[in-house]
Amino acid sequence: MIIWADGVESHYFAPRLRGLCPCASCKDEMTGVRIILPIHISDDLEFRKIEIVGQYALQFEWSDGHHTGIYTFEYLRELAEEK
Amino acid sequence: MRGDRGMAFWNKESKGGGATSEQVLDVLKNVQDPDLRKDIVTLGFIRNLKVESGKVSFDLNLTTPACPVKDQMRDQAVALVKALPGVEDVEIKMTSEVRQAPQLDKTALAGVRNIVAVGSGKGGVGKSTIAVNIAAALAQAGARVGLLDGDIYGPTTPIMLGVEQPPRNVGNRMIPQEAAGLKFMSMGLLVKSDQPLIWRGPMAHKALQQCLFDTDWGELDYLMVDLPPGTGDVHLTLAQAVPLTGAVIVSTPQDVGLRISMKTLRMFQQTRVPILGIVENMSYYVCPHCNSQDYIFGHGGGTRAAEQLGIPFLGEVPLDLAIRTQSDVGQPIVIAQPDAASARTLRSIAEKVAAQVSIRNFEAPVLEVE
Repeated sequence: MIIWADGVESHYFAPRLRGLCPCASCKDEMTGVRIILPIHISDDLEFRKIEIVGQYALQFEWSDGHHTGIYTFEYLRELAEEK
Repeated sequence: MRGDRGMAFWNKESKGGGATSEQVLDVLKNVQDPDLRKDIVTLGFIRNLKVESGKVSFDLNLTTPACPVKDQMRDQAVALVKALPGVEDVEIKMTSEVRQAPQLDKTALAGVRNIVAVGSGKGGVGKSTIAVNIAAALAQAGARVGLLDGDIYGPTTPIMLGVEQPPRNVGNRMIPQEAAGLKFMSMGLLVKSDQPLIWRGPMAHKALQQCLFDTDWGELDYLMVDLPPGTGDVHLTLAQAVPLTGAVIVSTPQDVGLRISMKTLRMFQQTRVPILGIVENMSYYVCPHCNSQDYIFGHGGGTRAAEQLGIPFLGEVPLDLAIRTQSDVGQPIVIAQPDAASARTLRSIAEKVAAQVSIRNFEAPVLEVE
């Protein structure tokens, strides 16, 4: 869950967030086409570690070992509002 | 750092008629910090207030020793307190305590209060000259300052500061060199000056991380990082590895220089690094014979860009032969010729940077992960 500075609360489902990873091995850098989709991720996937990147993003380590995705705050907010 | 902080020190007793502590604090509430837009009592700047038989004394504890409006605030405070009935003498001690940027205390650089990047879109705009002089001016004002030369491919600060010996190692940490009142570290200290570094991105990333985290900076109010031109590995590493208090953009007045600087600016915006302002370098040329000013690269480009983007314009630095010659002999002009016009301009820019840092630290959102 993220509590934003404007008071909005966003909840995230770990497997969906993992499936929407913005890193270059999950989403083609040139075409923007997704390589990994939420349907590829098993439902029991969990967060292992969360780190702040500078002051603009979060980086997650998942129980499948993947950790290269940098989720900007804009992207996280967007994902929460899509739901 | 809120107003209630100094409470314990306030002497509530008033002896021998005169004014009371409450009255003194009341009138001091009329002194505003123009940058933080709050009064100096609410900001908790008043410390150790003593009121004794007509004699009032206190410390005015600002957020930076390089405060551009320091004298103005002191004079205003003195005048207001003196005007109180029964007050004969006012003594103000000016002190300062630079606030730490949020999150920085949780990194390996916990002793550093603020990290400020200096960047530009293209090379040759005088970024290092500006960075060295801002750092030296802040140190001159009494701040504890470090300078990291992040331009790993073309490090110039060792020349500008006149120290080229490699740093000592203690354990696995490097002891930064000291010059011009500041601590500094540069790839130029680690590699022979005529040897090029031919590295791919990952090496650049690692080198910067080592110079940043493996250097024993100790306690610093400001760590300035002189970036290489453009928007490359070093920039991204820095924006990701540490919470930067902000970035200063150096540009020339020429349109093309400015337009490229916009890219660097956008990169900082995308990584949410606050822009502290634009410095326009090589703004005009002062003829050494007739003192006339020539705007050889055009005029007003930096001011216009700052206005359009809604960011502070920090100042115009002239093309001054003395800045160049002082850099070449390893003595920043703010120290070697403190009264020169360009040194005064650079000092004023440093003060504006310090003021912007204070503003950011009061405004910055706090990120927490649980």
